[in-house]
Amino acid sequence: MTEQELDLRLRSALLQTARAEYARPLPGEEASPAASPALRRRLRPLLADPFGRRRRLHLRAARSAAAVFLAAVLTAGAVLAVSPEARAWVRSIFVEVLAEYSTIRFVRDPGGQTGELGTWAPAWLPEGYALLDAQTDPYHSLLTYGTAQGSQIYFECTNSPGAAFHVDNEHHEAMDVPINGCSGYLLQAVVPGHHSSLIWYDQASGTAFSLLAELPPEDLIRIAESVAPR
Amino acid sequence: MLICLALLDDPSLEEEFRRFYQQTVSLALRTARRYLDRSLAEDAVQESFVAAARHFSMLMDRTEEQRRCYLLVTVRNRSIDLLRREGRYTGLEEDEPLPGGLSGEQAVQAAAGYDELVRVILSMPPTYREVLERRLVLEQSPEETAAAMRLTQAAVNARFSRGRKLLRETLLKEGIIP
Repeated sequence: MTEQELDLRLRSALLQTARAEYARPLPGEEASPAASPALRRRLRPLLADPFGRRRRLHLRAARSAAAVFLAAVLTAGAVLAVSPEARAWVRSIFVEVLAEYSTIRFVRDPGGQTGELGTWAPAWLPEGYALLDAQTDPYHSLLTYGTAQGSQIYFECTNSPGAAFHVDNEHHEAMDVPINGCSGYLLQAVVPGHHSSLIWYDQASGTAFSLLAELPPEDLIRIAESVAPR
Repeated sequence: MLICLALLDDPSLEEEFRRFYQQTVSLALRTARRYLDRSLAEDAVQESFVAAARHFSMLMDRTEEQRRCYLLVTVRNRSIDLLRREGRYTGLEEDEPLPGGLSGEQAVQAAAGYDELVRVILSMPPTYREVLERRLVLEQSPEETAAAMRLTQAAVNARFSRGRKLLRETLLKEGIIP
């Protein structure tokens, strides 16, 4: 048996082992957990274009978006030079810019304690929106608001160490926006039919927030500024 | 590379990937939840499907079952990556079982009906198995494996070599290879 044949056999055994270990639920384990609305939303761009075929067809547009994003990053760099708050923001987040989306990960102080998240919600919403769904656990909350016409606002917050938000960056213009003294990051949709995202981090409570909606930036900012513990 | 791009330009492959997602997302979530809380488990699942999409043309020459198992290995290792990033993997590097892994008794039960090789893999030190999975299943380079596991390349090579030797001896003992 050659080394290559041995490795192929070992690979099969490793795959078979994974099946033995994970294919059946353990006692007390949920047999078929469903993806949360947040995960489904995050995976939507991947499922719409899993291999970047449409993206390659629109390469020029993607390059323009990347240039806009780079300009925003450079602007943020200039802010960093003079703003202690902005430096603290950068210490707290890790931004991974991929071709289709960016991952914004929040890094808490390693010595810090993670308490209960509490109940956060916006006190102001545009007319016609009502709460449709609330999913909460001690470290994560997702509230979905909607109108009778089907428009939706997703409000998510978490104080989980290493938490991350994934945002589409192909059809957006990025800019820094302060939210009640906290550093925030707005990805404003520049293509019709795409949602805008607003992400901000409250260092005092160690809580990261995200708003996603097809709304003008001034409405998103107003909703964000109204967010408070209930 | 050109062949891969041509394959990925085939819209029917996109449908195949969506079908793969629908069939495996619950299993992937259940696997990640053995290691992580719900929020991080969903991160691990998302990143695993992104990785699966990247390698999907390569996976097309495997059976559906092999693709499913490939995803399980990806989710398992991505979950371990996130545990490491959070500093919750300390002290589990050599002999202790992973938080989401099976106990010795459960492993024997899970391996029932499979060959001795599966039993050995289930009982070997977690980092040996992880190195073997990353190198042989996920086809990561020694450099990528070392970076993901926060080890030196020498340590990765040593664990790969020891793990491989252990499994080769099992194959010899069982008479599977001469």
